[in-house]
Amino acid sequence: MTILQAVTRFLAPFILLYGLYVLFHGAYGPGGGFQGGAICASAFVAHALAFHIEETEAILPLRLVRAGAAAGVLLYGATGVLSMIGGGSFLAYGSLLPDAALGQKAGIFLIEAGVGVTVFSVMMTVVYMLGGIRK
Amino acid sequence: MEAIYLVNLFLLFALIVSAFAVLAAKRLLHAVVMGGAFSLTMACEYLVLAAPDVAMTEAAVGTGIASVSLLLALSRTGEDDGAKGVSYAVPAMACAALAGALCAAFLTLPPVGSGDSPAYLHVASEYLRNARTDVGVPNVVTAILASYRGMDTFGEAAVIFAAGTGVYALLAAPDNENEDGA
Repeated sequence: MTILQAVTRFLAPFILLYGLYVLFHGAYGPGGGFQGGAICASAFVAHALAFHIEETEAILPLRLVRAGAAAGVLLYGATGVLSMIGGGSFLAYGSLLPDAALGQKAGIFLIEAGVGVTVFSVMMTVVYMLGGIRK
Repeated sequence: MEAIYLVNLFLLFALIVSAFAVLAAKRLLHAVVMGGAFSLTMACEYLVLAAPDVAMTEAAVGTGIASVSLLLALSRTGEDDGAKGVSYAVPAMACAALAGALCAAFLTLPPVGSGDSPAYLHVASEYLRNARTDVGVPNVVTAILASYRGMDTFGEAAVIFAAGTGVYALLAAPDNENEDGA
């Protein structure tokens, strides 16, 4: 194992943890879905650089990230539809829960997660496709 | 002199040096690496300008994923940029004209952080005043992006999805595989 591989193996979990922190702490500090998704993707990109891209694909299959890209947008849209079912208008999160303030927080949490999953998945798809993964 | 001016001076100097290093690079690989350095300096400058959200995005996307995408593309296309004997006179003049126009526009911008700038006179003050009671999250940027402007962010997510699907459709086409012999 090279130095680069050893350092990547050590750092990747911390990059992922930081990405998730940025994703879900976006309501309180700087960051949000886009930033968190991009930081999480950079952990896997570092793995693909240090190891072979096929090894990264074995951990995180292309099929999964292709589905993830769509799932994130769906989660976002579904949050909008759920708030309509709750009696509000599309993406008015206040109607998601009986307590409007809590509903806003839940809505923001869900759509940030959706954006994060989409951004992460699209970035991994682009890197896999340019890296010559075909499946 | 305040320390922040020294930091700005250093960052702007590093930006100009790395931009010219991209231009002067003999090999495309070097140009990609210097482009990454430019982007990382830009991320630091965004942080100095109190835009940590943008700085995070620039560092992760501009420095990391864009550089790696370019490296991967280089490994598939080879080092030759096919630009032998191409004249740079017209692009150079176009760039100089654009730079001149941007410098002229820069002189008319309001000072950084000025409360009278047009950006603060429209709906921004409304958002800043009401975000805490309307949305209830401390980060006003998130309140605007996710709640007030939730529809716009939905559109953004859809655009990113469309871009990824486009790249997949382009590179996974059966014709491509035959060319590679894969």
